[in-house]
Parts: sequence; C-alpha cells; structure tokens
Amino acid sequence: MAAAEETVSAPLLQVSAVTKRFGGFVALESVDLLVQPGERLGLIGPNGSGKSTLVNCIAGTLRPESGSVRFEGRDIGREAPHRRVRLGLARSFQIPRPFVSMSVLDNLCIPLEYAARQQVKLGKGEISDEAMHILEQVGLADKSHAMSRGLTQVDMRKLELARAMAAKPKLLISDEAMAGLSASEVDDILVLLSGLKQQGVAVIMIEHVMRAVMKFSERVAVLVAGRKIADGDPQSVVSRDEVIKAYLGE
Amino acid sequence: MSNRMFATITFASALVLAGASQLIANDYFFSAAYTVLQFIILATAWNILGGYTGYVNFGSAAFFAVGAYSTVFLYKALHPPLPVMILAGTLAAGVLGLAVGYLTLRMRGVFFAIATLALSVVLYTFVVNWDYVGGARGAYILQPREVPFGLRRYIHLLYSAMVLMTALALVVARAIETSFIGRGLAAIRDDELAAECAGVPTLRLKLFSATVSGALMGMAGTTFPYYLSYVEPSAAFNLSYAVNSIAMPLIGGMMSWVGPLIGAVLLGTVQQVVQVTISSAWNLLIVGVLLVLFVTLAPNGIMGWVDAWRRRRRR
Repeated sequence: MAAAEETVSAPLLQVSAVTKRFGGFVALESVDLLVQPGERLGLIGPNGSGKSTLVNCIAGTLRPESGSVRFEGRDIGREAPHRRVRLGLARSFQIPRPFVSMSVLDNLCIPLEYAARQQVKLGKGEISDEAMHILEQVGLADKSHAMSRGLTQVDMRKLELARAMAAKPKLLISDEAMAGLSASEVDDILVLLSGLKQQGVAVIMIEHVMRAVMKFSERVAVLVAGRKIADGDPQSVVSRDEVIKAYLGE
Repeated sequence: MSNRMFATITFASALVLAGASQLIANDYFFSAAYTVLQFIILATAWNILGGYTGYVNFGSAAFFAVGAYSTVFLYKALHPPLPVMILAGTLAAGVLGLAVGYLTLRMRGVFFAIATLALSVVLYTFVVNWDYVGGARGAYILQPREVPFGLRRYIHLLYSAMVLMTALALVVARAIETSFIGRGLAAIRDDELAAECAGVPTLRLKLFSATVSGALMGMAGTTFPYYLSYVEPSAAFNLSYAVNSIAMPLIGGMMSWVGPLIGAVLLGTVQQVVQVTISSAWNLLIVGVLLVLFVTLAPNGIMGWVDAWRRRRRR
C-alpha cells in the first residue's frame, strides 16, 4: 500500500541526463525533463534542435547513450517501445503513419486491442465501440469505414492523434500534430488535447504553432541544439532573451 | 463463421475428399492432385509470412527440402512410421523458420528476400555434401509394400495424407488471419514502427509468423521422398517451389487465406494440364507469363479484384 502511494506522488515521467549521439553529432546533451500526472507541457525549439529525438528516446524507438527514462517511478530505459505503450506512454508521429491496408476504424482497433487492454479490459464489441467513440471525439466518425490511405492530410493527422489516444495512455506525446493545419483546425485539435486533461492524461505537445503552444501549455520547455535552455511558465519562458535569440537570431 | 466451425467443415470435407477419390481408378489423378495439394500448402504457408506479415521469402524451397530431407534422414536412421516423419519434418522446418524470423530483426524488404534466397543456397550445398542422406547422388526411399486403411496403393495414402495436411494448413492460416495475431501482423506489414508504437509486440509476432510459415512449408515436403521414391537435392530444392509459392498467393490475392488457395488451384492445375498436353518444360514459363499479367492488370490478385468489384456493387 505504501509503495502505491509513493508512485502516486512521483512524477509521471522523469527524463534524467539523456544524451544521444548520431556518430559525432550530439543530438541531445544531458537533457532533463519532468512531467507530472495530468500536466500539459509544451516542448518547443527550432528545427533540428532534438525535439523528435527526445520523443524517440522517451518512446523507446531510439536508445540514448546515457541517462535514464523513468515512467511512474520505474526505469523503462530497457523496455521495447510496445511495452512502453502498454505502460501508458503513447506518441503520435510527426509524419502520419497510418496502417494503409485498414479502414480508419481498424487503425484504432490495433492499439485498443494491443495496448489499451493492459489498462482496461475491453470485450470484443467494446473495442469497436470505443474506437468509434474516439473517432467521434476527433471528428472522423463519418469516415470510420473509409480506407486510411485515401484520407486528406488533415484527416491523417487527426487519425494519427486518435490512434495514440486509443492506446489509453497516461502520457500522450503529440509530435507536431498541427503543422500545416488551418486556424480552425488547430483549434479543433487544441480542444481535443485539452479534453484529455479531464481524463487525467498528461500531454507533451511539440509544436511550432506558437499560438497553440501558449494557449495549451501549463509549462513550456525549450530545446536548442540538443540542450534544454529554458523550462517554466510559458509567458516568462518565451520572453527570455536566449529563447528569443534561438528563434529569431541575434 | 467461427474457426472451430471452419476447422470441422474443412477436415470433414478433407476426409470425404480422401475417401471419395478412392472410387477414381485412374492413378494419374492421384499424382496430379498430390502436386496441386502440395502447392496449396506451400502457397498458404508462404502467405502467412509473405502476405500477412509483409516479409517476402524467396527460400520456400529450403523449407520444403528440410521437410523432405528430414524424412530421408529418419528413413535411414530409425525408419519410424510416416506420421512421426511428418511431425519431425514439420518441427525441423519450424526451427529453421524461427531462425529466419530473427533475420527480420535486421533486414526487411529486398534484403530479407535475398537473405532467404542465400539460405536456400547454403542448405542446398550442405545437403549436396552430406553423404548420409545421399549427397548429390540422391537417395532411394522405398514405399512400404503394405498400405494401411485398406487403400489400394501407397500413392492413395500419400494423397490422403496430403489432403489432411492441406486442410490443416488452411485452418491454421484462417485462424491466424481472423485472430488478434492476424490483425497485429497486418499492422506490421503496413508500418512496423507504427505497429510497435501502437503496442504490437512486433518481434514476437514476426517470430511466430516465420515459424508457422516455415513449419507448414516443411510439412508439405515430408511425404515428398515417398511420393517420388527418389530424392535428389536439385529436386527438393527446385526453383519451382520458391517461384510457385510466391506466384500463387500473388495471383490469388495475399490479404486472406482464400487467395493462395485459389492461386494454387488455378496455377497448379494449369501446370498439370500443360505438362500433360504440351511439355513439362513450359511450366515455369507459364507461371512467369501469368505473374506478369497479374502484377500489371490485377496487382491485388483475384481476391483483390473480387473485393473491388463487391465494393463497387455495394455503392
């Protein structure tokens, strides 16, 4: 019982001193990051600053050279990506990667069947009901039986996000879900991601759309050239000199 | 239809098929049917890794030969009854399949295909130089004089065994396809990284798929030495097994268990007819021509074409 209470008070995600090199290039240099349960964190930084590399290290698709990744107090550094998803750590891809031979609905059934089942027991009929429910949330319900390869870019991004949600995560990492979307579509996705807060889901939002980042985030972290240069309250972070310099130059 | 229902029906019709064909007097029917059935198993088995999972295996002949040569080895060493040989060959090929499954860790696409082809060449060389199983000279396997179950000739027994093994292959393929495993394999085929990040244990599923696929292909080869009474490496490792087990699912359709069945029946029958009416040298040419036709005109095979037609009608 005491152990259970301890994990509740512990941070949801704890990235400590993670370093990742590609050959001689240092993509991440001793990066620390904390995410509390239910927190909404914005992760920003110029192109090539290591945001996606950090996501990959957290999700397990890349192994960092050093440092540790702990989820709910447990070291997950050696776990395969699919194990991490099952523990409650889901991510969406920057470039949508739908299962092209499947319908939109079936795309969601995969994480529901393989990942979400570890969290909540779902019966056979419940899986497609739940998939449909998520599609309604993201506004893809009317396309549930369409083939995923025929979707528009916007719908593919929604599907990408929906598939991550279908894993029933405790932490969802959204990797540039809004790039190229119109203002109203950005708002749609913001509503969606904010809705996850009510379900107690923490979100790391990686985004270039600053309006969305400022509106969404409770806290903002800034990566520049593989180092975290700022972490804190959104307003104060974006007004700091080094952040402005990194984004706009000298 | 539930898998249990399907299995019951398939095995029942296999028994009926095996029994009813005893009324056929023409012995050529049995050897022709044996060949077609053998191709149904090979195509169905290949499709589990190639069609469901998306890993193209060019080494089907190696698995087939492992099954065949495991029978030759046991024949020489212990001479156990036929069912034991079938089981042993299936297991041996399954182990080889597991090894190939580990190849998927580092290789995919063309590289995986080439690796499986290389595997076939390596095993071929190994068997050619292995004197105990006959080496390059080949080995004679005598069919037992007494045929059980009151069957008239040994080929009838082999044919019946083949019918049952075909039924087993179809039941296994369909069970995999309709289960959560099949959906996981489809996810791997579409996008392996996305599948892994959706919680699919990709390595475990690939190992499973490669093992089952290999085991079934090996099973198809276990009765081969008895069928021909003589096995040589170039017969057991024949290119036609590798080519046909790819061509048949491709022509029939790779998305479901029905595709390889249709492709194998169609292509296998055509080859048998051509062999008798024109010449046996034309076999692979016909496969090649049909393959080119299908890849250009119906890339998703006959079943893909049927599905598209059904979808159009529904609208």
